[in-house]
Amino acid sequence: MEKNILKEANEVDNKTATKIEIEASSFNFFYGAKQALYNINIKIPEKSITAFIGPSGCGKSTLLRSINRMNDIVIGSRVEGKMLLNEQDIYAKSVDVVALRRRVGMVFQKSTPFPKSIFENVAYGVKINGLAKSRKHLQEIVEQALKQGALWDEVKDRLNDSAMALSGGQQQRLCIARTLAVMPEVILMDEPCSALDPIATEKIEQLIAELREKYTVIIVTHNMQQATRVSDYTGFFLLGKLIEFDETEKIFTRPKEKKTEDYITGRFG
Amino acid sequence: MRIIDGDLTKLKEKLTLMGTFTETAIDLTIKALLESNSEISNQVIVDDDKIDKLENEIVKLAIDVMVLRQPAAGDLRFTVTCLQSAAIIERVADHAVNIAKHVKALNLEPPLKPYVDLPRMAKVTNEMFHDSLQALINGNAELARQTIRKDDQVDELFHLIYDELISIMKSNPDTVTRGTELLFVIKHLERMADYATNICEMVIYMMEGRMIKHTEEAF
Amino acid sequence: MRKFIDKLVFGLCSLSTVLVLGILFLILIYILLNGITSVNLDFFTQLPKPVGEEGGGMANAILGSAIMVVIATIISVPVSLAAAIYLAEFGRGKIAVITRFMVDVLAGVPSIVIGIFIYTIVVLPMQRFSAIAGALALAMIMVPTLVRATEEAIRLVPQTVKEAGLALGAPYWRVIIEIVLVSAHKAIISGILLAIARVAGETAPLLFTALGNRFFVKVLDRPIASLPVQIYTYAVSPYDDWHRQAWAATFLLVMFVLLINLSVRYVTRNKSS
Repeated sequence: MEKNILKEANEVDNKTATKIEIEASSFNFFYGAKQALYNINIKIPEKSITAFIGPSGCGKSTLLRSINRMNDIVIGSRVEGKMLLNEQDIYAKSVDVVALRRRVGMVFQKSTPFPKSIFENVAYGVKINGLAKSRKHLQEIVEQALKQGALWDEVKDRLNDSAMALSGGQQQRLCIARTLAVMPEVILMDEPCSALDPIATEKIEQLIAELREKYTVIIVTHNMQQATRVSDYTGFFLLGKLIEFDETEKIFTRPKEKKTEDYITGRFG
Repeated sequence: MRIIDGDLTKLKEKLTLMGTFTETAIDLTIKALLESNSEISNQVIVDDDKIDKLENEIVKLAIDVMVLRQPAAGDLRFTVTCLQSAAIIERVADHAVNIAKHVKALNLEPPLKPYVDLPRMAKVTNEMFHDSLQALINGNAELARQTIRKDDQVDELFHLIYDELISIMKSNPDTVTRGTELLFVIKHLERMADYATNICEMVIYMMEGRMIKHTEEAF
Repeated sequence: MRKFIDKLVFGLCSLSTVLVLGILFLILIYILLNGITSVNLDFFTQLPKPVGEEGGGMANAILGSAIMVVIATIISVPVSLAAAIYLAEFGRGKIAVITRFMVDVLAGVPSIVIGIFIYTIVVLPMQRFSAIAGALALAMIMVPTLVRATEEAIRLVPQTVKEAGLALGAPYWRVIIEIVLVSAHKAIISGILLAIARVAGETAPLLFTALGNRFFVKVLDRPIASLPVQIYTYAVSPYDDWHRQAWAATFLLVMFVLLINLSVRYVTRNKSS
């Protein structure tokens, strides 16, 4: 399903009508004494693709990693404010972080295959979370995930080969398939294509575009063209603050904030 | 200075030049009409080539900017505006040429009557086009809005002259040839004024990001 | 002028290399020549004969060394692994700093001191020398090497691989064991093999803990023979036959170390895709 660029130009702002999957409310983040995110307020609609853009160090990756609480493993990290996933605060005391991470998957910049076979890589999360009822069920899940990850055709005859033998682009698709296998609601991607050549990037962008039917996807990217190609919404960050958040088409043709305009027209950094 | 700034400056320069040539064409063609001078008309017809050539150059340059620089936001709107404006200005120039041809036909006979309202209509149209170019080059949305409002005057004058010409032609068959040529002339003038408002609408889009063409918003 | 200095330095380096390799080579050849004649089936299967009698072997010493090294490995590996995981994962607090310091200190302690230490806390209370004391001493020597090597191996696993495991909803301990350790397993195994090679030849600590024995030992709380101690005993004796057997044992030890190193190379080989 391609990005529908034929939406009416005067379409009513339908964010209130669309369900909000993720909402940050007065969200502040600290690495020890250093504040990395200042009072972030953002509403991300479900089943859409959102891009976070901004210069290095602007906090976009920090915010991304806050959504699956990956920042918890950094010593001294501290959070103020709320981060709501489906209207539940994920930083509440009662939240099981491990369960959260099943619902919010993450794909990293450098592909991270486990030192196991291709099959075992995809099956890992499934087994850990006890999602397969039988060996056969597990195989179905793995096949489905690899198909969604646009990798099935290339590996179906060598599922038991080591994952390390795949090319960079294939490994990244494997990581995506691995994440899809546990059926998350949200998929976070931190510059997923920056280590890949243009053809591999193209394949992954196509894959990402298809994901919007079922998942809420957030991509951090430093490549603005990628943001325009792939995302429905874009958030521009600068020095830990969210400067502007809107439909991608609006951000790139008539941004409201001067800082946004300056950034996307290359007037700084 | 960004890389794209050089390209955008070139676009602006070419557009300014094209506008200047077209303004001259309008000035000359109206002069030819009011002075019944076919020589000047011929000049206008010949000079049109320059304007067409510039349109091609501007279109090519704008496309290059889009593919090579991937402009966004303000830069994008500017580039698109240049592209559309070049086409509009070319058509305005074409109308000036057409008026010149009608003037040559008119000059085969003595003038129909002293022109009173016609110079007035020509003047407003000329001003509108000039102002629309100014608004475009200087990015002046306010001037653009003012200019759009002037179109009413042109329409009023059009109907005035039209009615007058029709009544003259009805009363005297000998005047029909000249009357018809003049009808065409005022039609071309009216179209030129319309195009000037189109340019102004593009200017508002370029400066404010809102597309007001075909909407009521201009007023 | 620069070319001359280049050549000079290159020449000196080559010379040093030749020197070092040459010495190593000489040692090996010497051992080989002296030892190989005595390495026979008897050597591996027979117990030492009473003093003065010809023949006999070092079967009990070989077995004894093997037993103590195996037990030392069994003791030291889990301890070192746990400490290494702790240091690699939580290595910033005060406890971690102190632990690392202690490990470094322990690495520098002469092995004879470790022997004396075990003598004091194990042999004396037990009132006897024993295989277990020997194994403990060897374990103490292995731990610092193992901890360092394992910590290093774990640190080499990229942070993102760990995070990828966590991101799938795996609990921390499973990520460590199933992903991090598996990723590092080659380096860890190499570390273990090299630690084994190191302690296989330790003599001084065993003198104070396992002592030695002329017979096979079936329990762990009695003195037990070991190859290095046996070499020492035989080498300083006045008997030629024993000298030859000492050479044979030396040869065996050297071969063992060589074998270990080859295994390390095998384990760490790059399986080309």
